[in-house]
Amino acid sequence: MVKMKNMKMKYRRGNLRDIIDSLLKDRFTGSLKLERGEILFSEGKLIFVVYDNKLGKKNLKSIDETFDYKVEELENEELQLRIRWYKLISGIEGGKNREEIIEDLGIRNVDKKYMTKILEKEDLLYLLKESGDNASSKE
Amino acid sequence: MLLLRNKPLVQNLKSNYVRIEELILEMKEKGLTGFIEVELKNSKDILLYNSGKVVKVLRIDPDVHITDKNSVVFDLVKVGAVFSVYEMKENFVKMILFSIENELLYKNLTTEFIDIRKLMKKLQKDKFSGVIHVCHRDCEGGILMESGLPSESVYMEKDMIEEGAEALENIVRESERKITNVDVFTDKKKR
Repeated sequence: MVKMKNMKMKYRRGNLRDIIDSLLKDRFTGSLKLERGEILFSEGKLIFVVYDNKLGKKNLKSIDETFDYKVEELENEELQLRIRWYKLISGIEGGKNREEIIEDLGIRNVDKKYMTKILEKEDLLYLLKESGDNASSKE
Repeated sequence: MLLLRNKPLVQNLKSNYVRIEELILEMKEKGLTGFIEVELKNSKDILLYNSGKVVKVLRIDPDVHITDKNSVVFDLVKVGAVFSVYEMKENFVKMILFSIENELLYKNLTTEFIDIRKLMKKLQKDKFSGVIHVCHRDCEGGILMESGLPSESVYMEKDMIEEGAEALENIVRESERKITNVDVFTDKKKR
């Protein structure tokens, strides 16, 4: 696969799954640009997806199997700049969202039982909502 | 003008005491990318460099004029001239050049009436290449765009200079908070 930095490239046509697998395997850092979106990678991890102006990995499902793409290597600063750009124009404010903060804290599944335990420990049990079993951001 | 002074190589040397022409030769040999600033009593001269070559010479009094190298060289040896050299990324030199030499797409848009995020969205959709330049009394910023996406960003406020994602966020936030002037320069040179 041809990866070139900061060069104008023509779109190629290929299978999404194959391209992504290859980039993950190569520990790729940069962009997989599609006609209607972009997928960003950092050291072989898929870190950001934008498709039809919608953000999030769930949008990968809506991408056809075969599509036009181009691959561009990016420095980490350029990657962060691009992510911030997409977040700003889509109205998602800068900084980390609740899900990202919870993930950073290493708390993968925040359920009511877990939350009760923490609040009890901190003498803050009165903060617990009476209804609902899940304290995730999807609440 | 986005003259970034956060990476000084030489600062405030007086032409009375230093052989400026030797220093200029050294900058050429070192392949300077950045600018040499010559402060005079009522004006400033700026020599913009890219890889050791002078790419543009400006006089600021306080309006910005493009001038020729010879007049600045004459100023360099004037008694009382104060001389500084700053390094900058090539992309920042490019941003300054775009704002001097290139065709304007939009001039004097004010954030009193326009939504900067919508403007960014439109430029992305149009696969725009060039510079978005924002300016306010206290702050200034620029976003270098290539095919509808940002490749560099810088934000200055007093002595603070930010680059990259943080700069981009500040440009948007400050443009929304204050009434800011926005100019958009294409990547095509003026005819």
